[in-house]
Amino acid sequence: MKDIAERALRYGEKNSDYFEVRAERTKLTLNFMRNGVLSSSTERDDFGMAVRALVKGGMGAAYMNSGDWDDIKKSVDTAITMAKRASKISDVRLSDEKAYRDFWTVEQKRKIESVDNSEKTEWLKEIDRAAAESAPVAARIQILRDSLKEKHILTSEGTEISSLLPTIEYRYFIVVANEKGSEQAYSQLAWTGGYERWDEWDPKERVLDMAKVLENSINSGKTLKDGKMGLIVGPEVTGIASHESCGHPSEADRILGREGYLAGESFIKPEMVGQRIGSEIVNVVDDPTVPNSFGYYKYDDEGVPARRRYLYKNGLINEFLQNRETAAKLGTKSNGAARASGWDREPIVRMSTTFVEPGDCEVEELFEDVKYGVYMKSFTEWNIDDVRFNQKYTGREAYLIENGEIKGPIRRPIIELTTKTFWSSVDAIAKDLDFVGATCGKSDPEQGVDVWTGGPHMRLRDVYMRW
Amino acid sequence: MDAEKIVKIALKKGADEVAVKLTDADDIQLRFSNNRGDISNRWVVSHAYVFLSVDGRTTSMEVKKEEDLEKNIEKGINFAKKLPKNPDFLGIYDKKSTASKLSFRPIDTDELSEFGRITIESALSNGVKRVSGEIYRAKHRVTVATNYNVLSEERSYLLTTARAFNDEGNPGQASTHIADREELERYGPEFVGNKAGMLASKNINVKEGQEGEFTVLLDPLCFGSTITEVASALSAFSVDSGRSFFVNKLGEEVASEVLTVYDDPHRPGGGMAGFDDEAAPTKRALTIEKGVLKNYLHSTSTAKKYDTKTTANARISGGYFMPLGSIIPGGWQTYVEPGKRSMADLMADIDKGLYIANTWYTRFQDKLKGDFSTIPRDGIFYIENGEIKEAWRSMRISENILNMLKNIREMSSENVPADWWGETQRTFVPYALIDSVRITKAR
Repeated sequence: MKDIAERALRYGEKNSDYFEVRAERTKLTLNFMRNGVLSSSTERDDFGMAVRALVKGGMGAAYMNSGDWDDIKKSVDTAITMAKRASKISDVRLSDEKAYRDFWTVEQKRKIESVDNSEKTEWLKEIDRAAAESAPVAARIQILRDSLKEKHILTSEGTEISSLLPTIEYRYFIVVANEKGSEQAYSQLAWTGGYERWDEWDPKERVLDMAKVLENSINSGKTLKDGKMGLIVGPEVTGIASHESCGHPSEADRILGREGYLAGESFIKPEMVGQRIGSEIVNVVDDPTVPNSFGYYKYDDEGVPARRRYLYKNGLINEFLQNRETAAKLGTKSNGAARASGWDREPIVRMSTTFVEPGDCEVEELFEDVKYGVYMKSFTEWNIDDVRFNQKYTGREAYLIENGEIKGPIRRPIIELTTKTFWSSVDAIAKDLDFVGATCGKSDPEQGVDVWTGGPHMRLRDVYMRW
Repeated sequence: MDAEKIVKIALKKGADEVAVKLTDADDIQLRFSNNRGDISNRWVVSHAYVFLSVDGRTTSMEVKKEEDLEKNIEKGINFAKKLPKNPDFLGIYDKKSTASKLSFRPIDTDELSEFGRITIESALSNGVKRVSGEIYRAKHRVTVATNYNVLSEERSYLLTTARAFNDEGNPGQASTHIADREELERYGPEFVGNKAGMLASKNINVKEGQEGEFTVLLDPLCFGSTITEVASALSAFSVDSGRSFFVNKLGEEVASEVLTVYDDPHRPGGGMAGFDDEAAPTKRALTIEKGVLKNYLHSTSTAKKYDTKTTANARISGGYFMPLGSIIPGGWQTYVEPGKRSMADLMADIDKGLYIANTWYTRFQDKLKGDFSTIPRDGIFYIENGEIKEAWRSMRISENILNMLKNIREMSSENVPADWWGETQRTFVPYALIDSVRITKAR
């Protein structure tokens, strides 16, 4: 595969100011079980290649999945022709970056290819049987997916990065329903590495626990009177807020308007670096190098080395996520945030693992000081506006807090607040740290990329809660 | 790649039933923002998806090279033999079939910059500052081969999206899908640019809005998003999965009597199809008639399970929360029957209410019951005595979708081919006037 990528590069670089080839091959296995029936079990072996050409400020890209040289040559010609045409209406530039040559991978202790598919389907069956017997579960869906992605990135500037990325992912969706009502839950466990993680996840216990939580919420969940109160959020809620109201608005392509017609722009403007958005203890980072994180990479899809980015630092807007195109426009360097979801997509600015850095107190200490409030451990419904300022999270597992103690379940508590209100209300951050997997959507055609979101428990003061 | 040859090899290697969907695509896209081009993309790709059953066991694969066909199909069949039986699979369409004829005059161009220019200039003519958007031309040759049939047709269409921003940075958006070049004038780049610009030009002096229950007029782009959720919930697969607010509601009143919905794959548009992915000829399928749920969308397998006939909505699944490669029912294009009076007439009827131009980020707390919220964007206009009085910001529709459908007062006489991103998919929808919609806001 690398040979043909090199041939395409040699052919394309002659007629462009910048030329880039990305060749990918992904072997994946997916099992989808619904209410005990294996609806889908499939193995895939997908190959394809993307080429990008920059000519006098015009960017053209072509995508192909034929291994035939004549087809590839045609696509290279197409990308260059389109770039030339686009130069009349475009002024794209790329930031100057050092070219690297490297190979990277992630170790698998239990290799994906060593686990037989029948073992995987047995796991799902066992979980399904247990869930079906545990609670009035009206619907059960499980998806187990693993993949090995081989990738080669070559550029006319001398970049030559090859990688082999193993990932596993387990998603489940359940609905619990009885005569008093229904509740649903969805969760995604994800890991870069091999199947060594499966047992540590203990998915059966998680599913059973979730079924009980939902049943408890339906049977005993109370609602409170709307008003301001203390709120403690678990890592799952900390994570989604980090992703939605810090990660997304910090994407430089949004800030510059390139995603305007789709995922939207951002409340952050280039001149807002240094402005306060949260309390002094808030540090939100995006870091592709967190070991075994879903979305882990050593170099991004433009060959730029990955590193931790402090998006909100000490409560101030600090740094944007950049690829080479946005960095050139903003007169800075890329910080390695260019990602393409597959061989048939262009690399754009993306998150990886976005989380709040842990604080210094124990989780229990957060509760001690709350006279009356809500502990929102997880969420189901959520949304945020397209400039990432007005957001809503509806609790799934939530409890009443009275005089520092966790009491009975609370059903569907809602926070609907602005980004500034959320992060400014944080007054204590615990030292724990946990992550969940997610698939982040953006761009057109849609690009869903692997990410983790997470962080520690956090305490927020005087938050308006509603039901 | 030869779809018929793949079927023959699979049968020879031991498969009982086979469906192959071969798509040869040549798609081009122009993306722009801030009135300038960002990138031109072209996809020349071929995908051959194979679904097969062996002794009640099912699997799927994608095959690539002609020379590896025998080896890869044999591998897939051996993989299937080790799987448990799939009791949800009750066969594919086994009658002799001819494709329903699609009648459209394709928009056959490789040059999108002129469409881009028209879109941008049409928006700017409304006095707005900048425009972002896309022109996307899809050209697909789709062939479906099974044990029983081989059908092939061209499906091509044009997507145009524009989002205009005024001096204050407030947006307006429009987005359409068309397949017939005769529709270019009515719903093509000029229409899209002009409407996006017009909405942005009114989205000025934006104020904090008020919470409460309102009569709302939903733009087609916005109502199309609601209807996209309806179409998804109509799939028998969603119903079986407990991910539908239409579970156990066949024959019941699920909406106001002004709502009649069809799945309409024959209308020229982005989702048109003359046959489904198991080679059943498509048809116009009535799903909701005057507010009553008449039918779910079916494949051959789900139809047998529900003791009915297929609606020719079988699709080889590729969705995020779907069983990859399996054949499950899904909508092609959703058509909502228009009313008799215009949007202007409907707006004139509003004493105090809202006109909402678009929404995004629709999420359900409870899909079974239909509790959800969604965020208006691209113009939330407060109406008093039938006229726009001011523009609002930061609002949210927090509702139950069945309540909303039951509270529809009237449909407009317009019927717009609305489509954008994942939010509004391949719909033909009017403006909808809906009473008692709960609006909340961030505090």
